[in-house]
Amino acid sequence: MNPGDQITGSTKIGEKQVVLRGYGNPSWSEIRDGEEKREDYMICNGKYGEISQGSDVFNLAYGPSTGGLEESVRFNIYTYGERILSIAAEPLYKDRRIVMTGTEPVTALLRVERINGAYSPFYSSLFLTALESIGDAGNDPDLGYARILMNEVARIADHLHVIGRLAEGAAQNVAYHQIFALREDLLRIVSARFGHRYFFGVNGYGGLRRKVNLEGITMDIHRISGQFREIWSKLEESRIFVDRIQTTTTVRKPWLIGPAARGAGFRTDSRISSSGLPYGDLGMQISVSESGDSLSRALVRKDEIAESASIIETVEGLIRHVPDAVDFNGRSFEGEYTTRTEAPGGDAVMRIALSGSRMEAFYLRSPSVQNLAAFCAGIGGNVLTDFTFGFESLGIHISETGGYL
Amino acid sequence: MIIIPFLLLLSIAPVIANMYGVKPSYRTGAVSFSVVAITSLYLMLEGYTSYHAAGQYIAVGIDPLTSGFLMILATVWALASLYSTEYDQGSISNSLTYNMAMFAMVILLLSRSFPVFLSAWETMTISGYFLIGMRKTVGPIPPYVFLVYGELSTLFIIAMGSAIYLQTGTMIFVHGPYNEVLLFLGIMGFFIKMGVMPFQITEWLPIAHGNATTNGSILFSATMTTAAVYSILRFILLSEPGIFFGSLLMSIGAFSLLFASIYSASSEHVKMLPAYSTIENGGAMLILLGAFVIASDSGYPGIAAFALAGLMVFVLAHSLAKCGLFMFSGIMEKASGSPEIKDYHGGSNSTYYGGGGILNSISLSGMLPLGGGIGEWMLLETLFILSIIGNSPLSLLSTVVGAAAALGGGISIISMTKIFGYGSRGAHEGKRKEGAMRTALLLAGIMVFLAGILSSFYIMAISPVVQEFTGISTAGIISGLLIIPNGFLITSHSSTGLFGVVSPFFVALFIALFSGIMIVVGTRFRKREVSTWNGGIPEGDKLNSFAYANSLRLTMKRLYLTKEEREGKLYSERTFDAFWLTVVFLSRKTVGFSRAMGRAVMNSSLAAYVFYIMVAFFLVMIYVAS
Repeated sequence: MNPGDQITGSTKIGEKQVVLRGYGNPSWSEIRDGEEKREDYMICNGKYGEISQGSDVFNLAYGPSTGGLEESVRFNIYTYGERILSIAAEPLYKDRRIVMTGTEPVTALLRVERINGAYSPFYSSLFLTALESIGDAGNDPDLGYARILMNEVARIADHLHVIGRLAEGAAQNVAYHQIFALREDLLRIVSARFGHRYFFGVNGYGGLRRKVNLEGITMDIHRISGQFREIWSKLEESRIFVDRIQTTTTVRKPWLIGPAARGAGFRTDSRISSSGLPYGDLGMQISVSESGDSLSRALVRKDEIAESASIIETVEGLIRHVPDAVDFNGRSFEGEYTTRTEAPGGDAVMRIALSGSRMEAFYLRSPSVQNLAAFCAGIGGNVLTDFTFGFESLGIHISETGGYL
Repeated sequence: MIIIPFLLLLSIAPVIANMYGVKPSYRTGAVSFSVVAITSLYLMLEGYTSYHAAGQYIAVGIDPLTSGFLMILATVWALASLYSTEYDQGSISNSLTYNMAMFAMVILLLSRSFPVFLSAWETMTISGYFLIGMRKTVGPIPPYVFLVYGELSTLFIIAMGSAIYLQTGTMIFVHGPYNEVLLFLGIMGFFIKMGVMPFQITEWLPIAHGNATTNGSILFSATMTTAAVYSILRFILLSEPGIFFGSLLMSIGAFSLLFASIYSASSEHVKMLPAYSTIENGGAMLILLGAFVIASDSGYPGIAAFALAGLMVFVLAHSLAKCGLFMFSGIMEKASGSPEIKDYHGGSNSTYYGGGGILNSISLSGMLPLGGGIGEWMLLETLFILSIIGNSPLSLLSTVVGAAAALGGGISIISMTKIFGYGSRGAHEGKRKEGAMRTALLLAGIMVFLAGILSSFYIMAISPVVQEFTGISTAGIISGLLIIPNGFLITSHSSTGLFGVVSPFFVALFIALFSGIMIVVGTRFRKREVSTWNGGIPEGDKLNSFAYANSLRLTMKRLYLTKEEREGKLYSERTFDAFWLTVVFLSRKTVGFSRAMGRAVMNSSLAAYVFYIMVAFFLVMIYVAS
């Protein structure tokens, strides 16, 4: 059996009973009426994309080490020149497996934070929420709001990264540099207020491990959001930018998640459907675009930057006192828990199982797994120059497509 | 008096030498046509003129126009014959028809009467038919296509000759003016030989030229088309065509140039690609011819002289470079055993092959300072100047034609980089000895290089030709400026004064100087060699020639009628020639109409048939009587 197809466990996510599969390329599918509905969900089976053949068709290798990609990944582009017939991706060309089983929760937390630095607060929140549930640590609303605040700041930073890369791919170098300068500005604000630009070492068991300065953060975020709005207004006036990303890598699949799903007209967002963090109190709006192309995904991200700024403003007003973290080193945990959150790239599912003071099992279905499959499904039929727009618009982080041991 | 027999004797020598074998005939051809080329150059410089007539039907002569073209064609023939000494391994039929075709073209250039002209034209056509037809690997269609279009061209010329005979009462070439419609009718015959519009749509030229032996392709593409240009010039010299005629030439030329360059870029056939390039060059030459006619008729002899000089530069560059390119493709085809460019995996360790190939392909891409680049510069300058002489319709035409020419010239870079790029990298070529084929190729390249950098001197040399048409010399075109000595600068003049300048010699000098400095500085202080980087993995599949040009096939989908098909995981892409589909459509309609007419009139009814004969007879009688 393919490693990606192995059943890792069965659990409840919200109201849904799901089957978790795979370690290398994790995925999950829903159980309805006692049957697993795999067709509604993306099942990678360790493979992304497909191989094409035919007269004059050849494999144009892109990566694993090339200037156009930030991370090491190999793409086999099947083409007869100009037209991308299909793409087969090999994210595991570089071994990215992270050992989690047998580690202490403290060590596991360190590794979880570093699976993907840009998503660090999301994954540490997922891990700690699960751990706190197993350890009956209670549910402090201020801690929940603080985690939401960190998540939304990280979401803005990641959306800026995605849109900036998209602008760079579309040869909008002024916008690219301005957006990346803005992102850098934001990360420095994070660094000054939280002690680390990727929130490393902030999230803790039952509270925060570090004193953070949240006072006036809304003003900073609104400034960033406002400046981005100004850049975007210029960017969307550029026909070069719009023409390049419009109708590019159009993908509409029922298993899409995050901005890819919302960009294809699916009104779905784990922040509302998941019970992990108190997003339900905030009355947040879901932004949707219909076309399913790279432009639609960028539009959704653009709207979400403003929405995140608004959420941050709300939660800053709600936070009274964030508790300090409890030292859980050496503490015994027994049990398992599955939790879910909406990372910037989409729905992330984490399941942990502990026995004694050690990790017995770890499962993470990261959004990039799904988005990489979405890229492979949507890029066929586009031309070679569209590769960048399609890939960047999905906000894929190859680092989180690896497996866990 | 003895010049014409001397030239004829030299030209028939290779035909006679066939009695002693194939190689001796080619060797004789290489030597004798070298002598013809040198003699012609001398005669052109001297402005030598001679004329001999025997009665009302036979006349031959030589003037600067003849010697100018003979010099170019004889140079190509000498190179092609040198190439053939290694290329043709003992096919007596091929060498005989090849030599006959060259001899016929010499007579064509010397002819001064319709019977002589037509005899030469027919001999040239029939020799060409055998050159294709006797090749064992070729099916029946290419030689048949060549013959059909060759005979069609003869019919047009006969029609023009007959009409001129009725007008002048003699078969000897005499000065007109002729009726422009009649002149255009005859020139249609020459259009066929050049493969330009409206005959481009049948694509007979790529089919025929692409299937001939390589030395045959050189004769067809590099010299028969040039002979057609000569013929047009000869009849323009006899007549006084006006702006309408010139505009027609320019329009046909622009259309032919643009579409031929587009089809050349997408061609995957090692010989059809250069054949399409021939149509493209033919189009450029027609534009210059048209510009010359317009400028002459509008009272701008300076512009006319510049256009004519540009035409002569283009003819020289096209003939030499096309000769070289067919030699290059002939070597490719022989090495891979396939006519497809994508099947060739080049790999030039041969300096002669690589050097000759790059010089000829750069020239055909229209790059300075090679001959083709100078020709293209002069073409565009002529059109710029015509666009500002104050005649609105002419300005519009010149602008549109100029845009088409510039676009076509740009696209030709794709086809030339494709054939040279894929023809000079890989494994097939390997380490080869520098034989006669590669030597001839390199010589063609060197000549086209010299034709470019010394083009100012060539323009001075063709002054007698230009004077024959315009009455003014080319001295006004050549000048000097600042550090550029007199004689090294080509200048163009509009009606208001100096318009543009270029010094091919100094362009080459500066390229050599700066390249030399970079090489010296670079290799002295810092020399880095790196292996190919393929994303960190070993080299795998390579971008083939089909893929190289596929962006064009996809972006010009409506023109190429590109059809992408998928069956499961199997993909394929096909293109269709819109022009060829039109021809097929029209042919089917014609056949359908003929059948319908056959059933209606020729329906085995004797009465209907007799009635038809009588009607036809009366109609002919009425026409003759009128």
